Amino acid sequence: MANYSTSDFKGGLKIMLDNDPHSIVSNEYVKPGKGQAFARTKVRNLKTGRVVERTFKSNESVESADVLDTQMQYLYADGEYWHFMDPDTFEQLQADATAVGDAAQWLIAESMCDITLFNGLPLVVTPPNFIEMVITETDPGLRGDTATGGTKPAHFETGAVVKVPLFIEEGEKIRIDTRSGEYVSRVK
Amino acid sequence: MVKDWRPGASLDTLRRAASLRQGLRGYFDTTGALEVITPVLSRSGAPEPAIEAFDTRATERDGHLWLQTSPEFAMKRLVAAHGRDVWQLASVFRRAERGRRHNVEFQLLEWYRIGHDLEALIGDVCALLKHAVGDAAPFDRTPVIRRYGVCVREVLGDWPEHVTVPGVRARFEGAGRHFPAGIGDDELDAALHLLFDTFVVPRFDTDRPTFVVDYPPSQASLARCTVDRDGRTVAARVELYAGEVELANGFHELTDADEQRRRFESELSVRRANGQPLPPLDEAFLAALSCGLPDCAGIALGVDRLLMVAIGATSLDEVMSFADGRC
Repeated sequence: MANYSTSDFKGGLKIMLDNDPHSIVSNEYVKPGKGQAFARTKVRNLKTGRVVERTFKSNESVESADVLDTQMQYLYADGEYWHFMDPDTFEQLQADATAVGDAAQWLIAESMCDITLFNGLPLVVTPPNFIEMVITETDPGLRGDTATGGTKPAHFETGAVVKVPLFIEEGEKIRIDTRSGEYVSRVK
Repeated sequence: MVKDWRPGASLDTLRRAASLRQGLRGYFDTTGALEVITPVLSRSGAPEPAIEAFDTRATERDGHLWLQTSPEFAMKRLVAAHGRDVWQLASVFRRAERGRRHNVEFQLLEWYRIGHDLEALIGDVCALLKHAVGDAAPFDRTPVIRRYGVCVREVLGDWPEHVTVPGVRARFEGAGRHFPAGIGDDELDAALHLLFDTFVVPRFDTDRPTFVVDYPPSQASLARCTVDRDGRTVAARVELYAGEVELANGFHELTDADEQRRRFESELSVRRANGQPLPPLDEAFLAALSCGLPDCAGIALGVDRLLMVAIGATSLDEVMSFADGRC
C-alpha cells in the first residue's frame, strides 16, 4: 500500500488512521520560524462520518486508503445484501446493512447510487439526492384542503415514511429529497 | 485551459507594498543604518534542522550552491568587518514551506544594531512599526511583552525546563486535542512548539502586537544566553507576533565563536541522525566571530506577512504578486 507524506496532504485525500479509512477535510501548514513544522488537519472517518482534528509532524508518513468513489445501479435486495451493478462493465457487487444503513429506504430498482468502495468492497452507499416513489399507504385526502399546510405520514414499499401534504393521495407518485427525507413535489 | 496568469495582489495592495518599502527605507535613513546587499547564493548553509535550504544543481565549475534561508551570516560578517549598523530587504528561500502564511520564497527585512541589547532592539522594532505601519491595526497600539516561560507555566503549571513530553501530551488529551504520535518522548522542543502554537499563541491580544522573550536555552539558535529575573537561564531571543501571526525573530547575538561552533555541530548531528541534507558550515562566518563580532542585536522581519496583517488579509497570496501557486 502506498504512503503519503504530510506534504501530499490536501482536501479529499484518503488516508488510513486507526485502521479506518478517512478523508482529509482541511489541512493547515503550521510552522514557527525556528521550529518543527506540523500539518494540522480535520479528517472525516468514512465509516462513521465523524470529523476529528489530527495533527501530524511534518513528513510523517501515513498509509493511503484504497478508497474509490463510483456510481452503480441498484438492482435488488435479497434480505441480507443489496445488489448493485456497474452499467458499463455489468460487474456486480453486494453491500451489507452496515454500508447501506439508512439509505435502504431510498433504494429503488435501477436508480444510480454513489458507492464508496474500500479495498474493493462497498463502504458507504449514497442514494440519489432526489428520488420518485409511489405512495402505498396514506390516510384519505381531504379534498379542497390545500391551504392549511398540514401534513400526514405516507408509507412506501421500501419501508420509508415521508410527511406529505394532506391533499396527496394513496397511489400517487411524489418526489423526495433523500438528504432531508422531505417531500418536494407531486409527480404527474 | 488558460493558466491563471493574473497576480494574487490587487493594484491597491501592490501600491501599499511599495509605500511600505519606502517607509522601511525612510526609517533606516533617519536612524542611520547602512543598506547592504549580500549574496543570495552561497557555498554554505544554515544547519538549523527545522529549516531546509534549496540546493542548486550547478555545473561542476560552479560547485554546489545553496539559496540563502536568511542573510544572517553574511550580514554579521559585514558588522564584524566594518562595525556599522546594517540593514537589507532580502529574498530568502525555504524548502517545503507552503500554506496560507508560508511561501517558499519571501522577503525578510533584516537589520543589526551595534551596542543594542534585547530591550533596545524591541524599542527599535516598535519605532519601525510606528513609522512604517503605525496607522494600521494592531500596530497602532502599544505592544505587550510576554515571557516564554511564563506563557508555558500558565498553560502547564510549570516552567519549560520542568516540562516533559508526556506532560504536554496529557495537556492535549485533557483539552480534547490531538497530539501527534510522531513526537517521541525525547523531542521536547517539538512538543513545546506545538503546545505554544496550540494553547498560547491563539490567546495573544489581537488588537496589539506581542513580543515574546526569554526562550528556553534549547531554542537559543544564534542568541546568547542570559539569566532572567527568576534566576533561570534563558536565551536572549525575541519573537514578534501580531495576533497569532509570527512576524519577526531577533537575538541579542551570540559572539562566542566556540559556542557557536558547538551549536552548529550539534544541529548537524541532528540532521545526520534524521538523514537530512548536510550543507557545509559557513567557516567564513565562524572566522568572523573568532575575529570579533561587536556586541549587537539583530532581527529578521517577514515583510509579506507584515503587509498581510496591516491590510487585514489572511493569506500571503493576497499580498504577493505571484506566490508559489502562480509562478
